[in-house]
Amino acid sequence: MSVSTTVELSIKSSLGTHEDRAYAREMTDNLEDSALMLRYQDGDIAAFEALYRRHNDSLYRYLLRLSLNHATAEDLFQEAWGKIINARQNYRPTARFSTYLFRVAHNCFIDYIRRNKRHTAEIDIDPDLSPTTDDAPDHLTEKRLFRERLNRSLADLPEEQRDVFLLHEEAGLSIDAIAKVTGVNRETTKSRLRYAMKKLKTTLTESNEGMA
Amino acid sequence: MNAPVNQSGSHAEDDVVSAMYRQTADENAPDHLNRSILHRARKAGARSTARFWQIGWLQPIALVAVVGLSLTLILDIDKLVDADNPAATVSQGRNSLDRAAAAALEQIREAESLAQQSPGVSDSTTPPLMVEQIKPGNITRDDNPQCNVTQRATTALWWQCIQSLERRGYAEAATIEYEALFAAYPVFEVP
Repeated sequence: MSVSTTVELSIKSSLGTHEDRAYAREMTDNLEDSALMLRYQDGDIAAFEALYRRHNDSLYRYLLRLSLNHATAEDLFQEAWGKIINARQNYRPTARFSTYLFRVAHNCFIDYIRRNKRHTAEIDIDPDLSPTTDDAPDHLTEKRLFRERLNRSLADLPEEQRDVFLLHEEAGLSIDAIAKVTGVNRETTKSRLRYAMKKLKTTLTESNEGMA
Repeated sequence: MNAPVNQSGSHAEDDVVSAMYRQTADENAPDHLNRSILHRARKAGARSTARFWQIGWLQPIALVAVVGLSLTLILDIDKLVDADNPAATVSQGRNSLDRAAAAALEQIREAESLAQQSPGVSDSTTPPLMVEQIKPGNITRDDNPQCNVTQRATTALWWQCIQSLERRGYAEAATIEYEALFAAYPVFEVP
């Protein structure tokens, strides 16, 4: 049995309560994120730091896998946070902060695509695989290979489907929230997510079987 | 055949893909980006805090607030002084009544002299003027005599007021005030 299969099985066993945990986390984060942002409006820098630490990694991964380019992701990441900082006085807690943040990032990416019409999804993601204490060498290699497969599978997806998938996974947004962020209706969003899931499932399973 | 749907409404295969993704996608934002953005946020936050105190309209508003508070304080102190020294209030009221009485007396005297200078006017038409009765100190001050709030503030002042009413001949009003005093202070002992 390969390591990825073991990972997959252990993940399957913990799926039952995942949605409940995500919902509870969503409710707490909603209130706390908004409160932190409002405190930052009043000049509380520590509040912004806490807020940033909560979302920086997921936003970075979203932009990295959406643009499929390390340098572009960094530029867009800075641009998105810059806009959040500059527009802090206009922030109103009408929606989840993560919805607001990822909408800004999504718009930055769309603007980037318009500015660079020759943008091609050329994969330039430098995997950061610094080994941790519990990462055995064979596990690390397996993880690296699996990540490469995932990145290739994501790159094969149409941009809209990739965007919806990443908003679902990285931002933890609901279908309705993704529809708001991307500016399309609920059914289209649902359909895009379904296609993305189906394609990823197929490609990841095929490559997994090929390796086994 | 459709994939099985779990309790939350999503398909089981979606959950597997999500879980595989989360297990693998664990990159962190680079440190130099973190430092850069936090530095930018600090600068922006410090600037906005400084700007708040530099707003032009803030100084006049602060001045108006200080003046308003000072006036309120002064007025409150005046009220406190009056409440502490009710005799001053009573004396002020008495002085104004005396002034009014003196003015009325002056007018009556003028009227009397005019009446004496006018032969066509009979003395019988002139109402009997009891000049002595309206001299300051003897004037009737109130149709409904009673102790005011200041006089009722303490038992001693209230008792003084009752005695004053009695001296001025308002026995009924004094009795009412006396009963009210005992209702308010059942343990009051007449000095």
